[in-house]
Order: sequence, then structure tokens, then C-alpha cells
Amino acid sequence: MGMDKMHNDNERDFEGLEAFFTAARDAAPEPTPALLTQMALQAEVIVTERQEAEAAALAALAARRQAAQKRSLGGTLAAALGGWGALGGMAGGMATATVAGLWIGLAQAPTLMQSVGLATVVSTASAEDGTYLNDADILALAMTQ
Amino acid sequence: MAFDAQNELTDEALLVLYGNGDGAAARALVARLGPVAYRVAFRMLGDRTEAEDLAQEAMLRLWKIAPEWRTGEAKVSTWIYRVTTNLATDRLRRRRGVGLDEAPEIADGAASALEGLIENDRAAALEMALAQLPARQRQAVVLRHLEGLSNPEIAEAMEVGVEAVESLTARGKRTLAALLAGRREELGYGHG
Repeated sequence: MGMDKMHNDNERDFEGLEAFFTAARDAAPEPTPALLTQMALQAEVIVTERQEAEAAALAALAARRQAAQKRSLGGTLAAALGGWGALGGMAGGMATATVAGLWIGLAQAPTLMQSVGLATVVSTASAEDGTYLNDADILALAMTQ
Repeated sequence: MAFDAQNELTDEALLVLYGNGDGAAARALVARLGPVAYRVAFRMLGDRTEAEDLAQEAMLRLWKIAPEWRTGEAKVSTWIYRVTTNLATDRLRRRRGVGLDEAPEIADGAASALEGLIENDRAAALEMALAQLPARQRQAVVLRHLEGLSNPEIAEAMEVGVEAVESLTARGKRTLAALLAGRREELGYGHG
């Protein structure tokens, strides 16, 4: 059988088929209203389920955020307390330094006064240790000068 | 949104609206695509109850993918054709237990029933003949000659090349022609 004859045979077959296709298209099966209603109801169910799932997810997220905020607040408070503690420490340090400075100042004062010839007004409270000049020494020194 | 306004929207726009929670958009989509899903399912399966079940399954899948629908990539109707025919093909494969392109043997009962169809029941004769085709050939023939899709549209729906569609359609029609040949002559649709 040549190609042309085969082609023609197929074409003839297919031409005949068209009448069947046309009949089938004209007799297209239609869904029942109940089926379409059911499809629409399914759509509503899916939307409702999705919205509920989204609401639940949002609620869970909000709960997690709230918990995180609580933890964060606790941390802030702790940090604040630590800060004040640090400040307290610093204040203590400053106080210590001030006291130390005062002590140094007071301790140095007699020597300084001695060097500028104001020994007569210097307290003799600490003379017992021998470091400083006592009253007799001061008098003697003044007389030599 | 008013129904009239929805009539002017594309399937895709309606699907996006539905994905955002618009129930009215879903009803409009049911009116457009529900009959398509049912019709194709019935033509593939030849059984009303099974077709209803399958059409619902196809629409259910559409509802579920709506929020993730990627606009501009495929027509919603093509998606429905694809899902419906694929679901139907799976059922046919399970029903017959044969490969997609393997032609089943035609039962004597089916052949005699086909022969016995009356003149004004050409649609039923075709339906019965379609039921004898391998699933993929039936899918291609239904989409091309009963649903009126173009070969590129069928290729997209069946996820094959256009040449494969042409081949499946031609083989399917050849089988249909053979099945209906005697019937055509009987009914006066001879080779003329």
C-alpha cells in the first residue's frame, strides 16, 4: 500500500469519526447542581480551615513574641540592676579614691608645710613615730635660722 | 464582589481572589470549571459516580493550591484539564492494571454492545469506543476532539511534546475508526 493510499484511508476514517465527535460534543455530560454546590462548599471549607490555621499560627506567634518579650524584660531588668551595681561599684571606687586622696593630702601636708617654713602651725599628732619633727625640734630649727 | 463584576475577571484573577479568602470568587470558578472537570472526568471514565468523585477531587486540589498559585505561568483551565485527566488516567490504570499506552483487549460484551447501539446514539457509541482506548490516547482524543483544545494546549496539559500529542491522537483515532467502522456503515456514515 502506497503512502498516499494509506493517508487517504486514514483521512476517510477520520472524516467519518467527526460525526461521532460532533454527536458526543452535542451530548456533553452536565454536572448536577448538587455536585456544583458540593464543590463550592468544599471551597468554603478549605478557606475556613486555612483561615483557622492562619489564626492559630498568628496566635502561636503572638504567644512566642510575648514570651520573648517577658524574657527580654527580665533581661533588661537584670542588665539595669547590673548597671546600677556597676555604678555602685564605681561610686564606691570613687569614694575610696577620694578618701585615699584625702589621706594622701593630709599625710603630705606636714612635710609640705615644713618645706615652706610653716612648721609652727603643723599638727604634731603624728610625731611619735619619729618621722616628723616635734615641737622642740621645730623651735631649735627656728633658732638656728 | 458582585457576580457581574466577576464575569469580567479571568479564571486566574478569581483564583487569586479565592486564595485571599473570597468565597464568591470560588463560586464563580465552580460555575466555570466545575462542568469542565466533570465532563472530562466522565468522558475519561464513562461512569457518572466516578466522574463526580474525580471532578470534586480535581476542584479540591485547585482550592488547596490557590494561595500558592503562580500567576502568569499556566492557564487555570489547562491546570484543571491536566489534573482531571491525570487523575482519570491513574484510575483507569488501576482499573485495568495495564500500562498507559498498552491497548486493552476489547471484551466480547463491549463489542456486541457497541454493535447494538441504535442510530441516534452516536454519542454513546463513541463513548463506548473511547472506553476501549489506552488511557493516554483517550486523554489526547478527548481533549482534542471533544474539548476542542489545541495541540500545544494538550501538550501542556499532558506534559508531553506536541509531536507526542499528535501521535497519541492519531493512534487513538485510528483505533476509534476501526471500532466504529462497521457501525458507521450501518448508520449510513460510510466511506462515501
